[in-house]
Amino acid sequence: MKRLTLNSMALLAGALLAAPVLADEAPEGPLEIVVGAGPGGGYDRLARAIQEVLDTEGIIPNTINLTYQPGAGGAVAWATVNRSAGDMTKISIFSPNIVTGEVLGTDTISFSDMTMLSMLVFEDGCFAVNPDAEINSAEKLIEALQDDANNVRFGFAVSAGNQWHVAMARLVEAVGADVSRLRSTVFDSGGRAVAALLGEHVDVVATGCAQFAQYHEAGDLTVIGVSAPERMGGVLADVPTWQEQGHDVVWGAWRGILAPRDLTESQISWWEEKLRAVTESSAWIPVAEENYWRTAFLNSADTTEMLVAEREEYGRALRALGLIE
Amino acid sequence: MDVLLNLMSGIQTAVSGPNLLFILLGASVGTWVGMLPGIGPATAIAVLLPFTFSLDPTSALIMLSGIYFGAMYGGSIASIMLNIPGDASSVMSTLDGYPMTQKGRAGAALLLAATASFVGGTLGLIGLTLIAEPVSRLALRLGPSEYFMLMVFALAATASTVQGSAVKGFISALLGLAIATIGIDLQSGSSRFTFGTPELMDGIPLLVAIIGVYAVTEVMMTVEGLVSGRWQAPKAIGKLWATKAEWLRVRFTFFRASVIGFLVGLMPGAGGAVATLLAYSTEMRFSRRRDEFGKGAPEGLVAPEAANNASVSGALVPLLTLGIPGSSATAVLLGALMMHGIQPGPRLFVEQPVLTWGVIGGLYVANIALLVLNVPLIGLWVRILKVPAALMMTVILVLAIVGSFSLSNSMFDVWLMLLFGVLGYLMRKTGVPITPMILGLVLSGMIEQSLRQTLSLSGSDWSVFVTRPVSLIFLLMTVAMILLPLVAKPRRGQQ
Repeated sequence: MKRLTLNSMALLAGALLAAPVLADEAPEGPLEIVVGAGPGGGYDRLARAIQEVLDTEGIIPNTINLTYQPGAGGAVAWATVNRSAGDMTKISIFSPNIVTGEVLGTDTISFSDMTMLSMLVFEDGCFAVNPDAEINSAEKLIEALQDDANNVRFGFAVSAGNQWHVAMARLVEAVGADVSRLRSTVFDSGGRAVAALLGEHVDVVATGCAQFAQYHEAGDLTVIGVSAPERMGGVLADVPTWQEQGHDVVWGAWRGILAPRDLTESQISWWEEKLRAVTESSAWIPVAEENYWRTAFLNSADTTEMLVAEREEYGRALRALGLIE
Repeated sequence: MDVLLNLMSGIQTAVSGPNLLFILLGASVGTWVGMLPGIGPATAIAVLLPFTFSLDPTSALIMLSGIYFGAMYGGSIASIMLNIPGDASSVMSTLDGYPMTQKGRAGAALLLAATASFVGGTLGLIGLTLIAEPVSRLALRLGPSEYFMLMVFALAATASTVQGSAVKGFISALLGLAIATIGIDLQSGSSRFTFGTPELMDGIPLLVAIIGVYAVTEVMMTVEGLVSGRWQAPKAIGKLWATKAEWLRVRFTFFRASVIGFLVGLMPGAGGAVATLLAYSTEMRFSRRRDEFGKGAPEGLVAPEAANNASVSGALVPLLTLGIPGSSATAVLLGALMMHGIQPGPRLFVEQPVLTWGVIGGLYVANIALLVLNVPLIGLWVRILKVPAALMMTVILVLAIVGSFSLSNSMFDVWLMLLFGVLGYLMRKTGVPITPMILGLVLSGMIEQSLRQTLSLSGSDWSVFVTRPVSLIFLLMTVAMILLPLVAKPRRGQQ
């Protein structure tokens, strides 16, 4: 009995002593999101959404500032963040560029050199055609591809080998056509790709669904397939997924949060908890809906695991496209 | 007359309540910010965007419109008074604007620029109001092959900016074309001349180059002049207002340049720089006083100024009717719309009539406001010339460094900018003109990418350039532009 009490007292004391160690290390002072593109872009919208939700929901006491460091699809900002090793007050948003840059050999920095804090959202892909063109439906597109992929003029933005390029490549493969014959043209912005489709200079464009919503609603363009596991909401609710149409194409963009290298376990788990709270808050839902984001929180370990798998898959896809050897 | 009713209600929105104040505030702040080296309309809007977040979307957009036009005029002031353009679309204004200042005609130059901006802006807006919808559909028919030929035409037109040695002009343009190959190649995804530097992946930032070769080079030239004692203060400021003869010379230029500016602006991505270049070279072709261009010809200033402002309205057509930004400044405006929760697209006019017509009304009002605000201030602006050179150059150098740093918050851009300053200095010392290099840098990326887009879309079939009518027209215009001077020369000799 006495021994037990002593034991439990020792346990209690141990717990008390350990408590400060067990609680996550919180950052002091203002936090900074380094945005890897200019104001108003995709990175900025997500950064602002996070800033707003953290603020309005009172998830953290710190103030959050945004700074802009555009360049190389985000790689300039990531490199800047990563220079502050062990500093948990600096984070940045990543996209599939973090994998494709490494696979293509254009980035000198790899996600494995940094701390991947979490995955946050998916931006699912939509494929659209021009209703006035010859290829104006999913059936006609597939038919043309199966005849010869070189018949189909595919337009996308913003860099060769990115998620939309690969999404299209997967569709071509799924319908049994030759990927290397695909006639792909890269435009320097999503808007230019949409303009090329409106003007019938290309036959099909794949990009994030948000970009097409208004054109689909107005009848200027027809979205014919979604490369996601489930349908989109809103005005795109009538568009079937590629899987529904019998083609196993699930490929899109995703966005998550990274921090500099050498963060401690406890610093990482502080961020994991806060970022999870953001995606689970009620203020988040309308923002996500408005931007066609599919919320998909993953913790740090799972995010890194997912990126490793993506890197493998991108490597395979880009080899099939002939972009790398 | 639905359009007129809509426009009237738009103007009413723009002048009602605090909105008029926002326009005036935007136009004045825009003018001041636009004068800084490296800050053109796109950067000015991006920098001032966060200040509009607390406003409702209509007021915010109206204020941004004021900033847009204000920053353009600010850029003109710096180009004319100091030979330091804020961005690529005000580069052409330095060619004759600065020589006018050197001749003591700074006041007249500023007045002509303000009037040209007003006329170009207003004519462009009338175009935007009346024919936005049908014209935007037509402009979409122009694809990569037409863009390629238009850019080649513009490249041929850069010859009109060269004074003196044609060979040196050629070297300068080629230098620009070569520098533009740095960065990731869009079509293949491979990096060229980046040496693993992430900052170079997107290529040499145009604004960094412009700040360097204009602002820093100007500082170096002036300092050298001050040290060697050869530097001369600008001539006493002559008559403040433009003479009757000057007005008469440019009366048609206003309209020709506005039409060119609007049409080029309609093509998404062509941009204000191409509009100003084509307006300038057209004016030169039609002028009987061709030899005065580059030495302070008022037409040479009025043409790019009117074209630049008209191109803004042109660029707004695809933005407002289709949600496609036509220029870097409208791309920032698009971002601003989205940040205010508005998804621009083909339904914008239907779903947000108050906003869209409010913005158009706001632009009309901003145009008038700029004229009213700035003409009385011309007397103040010309006093910039009375600031001691040593002080002025210090300020310019500081602003150049701050400006290049703020583009992407990186010291890399500052070093690059200073490097371009040295390059510009060497070019000036050897008599190699700077403008063709900047124009080459502007055009090169578009020429290469549109050529490769065309060939990938056509399946490597070169005949599309002659089978597509608009592309053929641009091709013939290019050939004419190159050959006509060769044919015309001997005839002049016979006379």
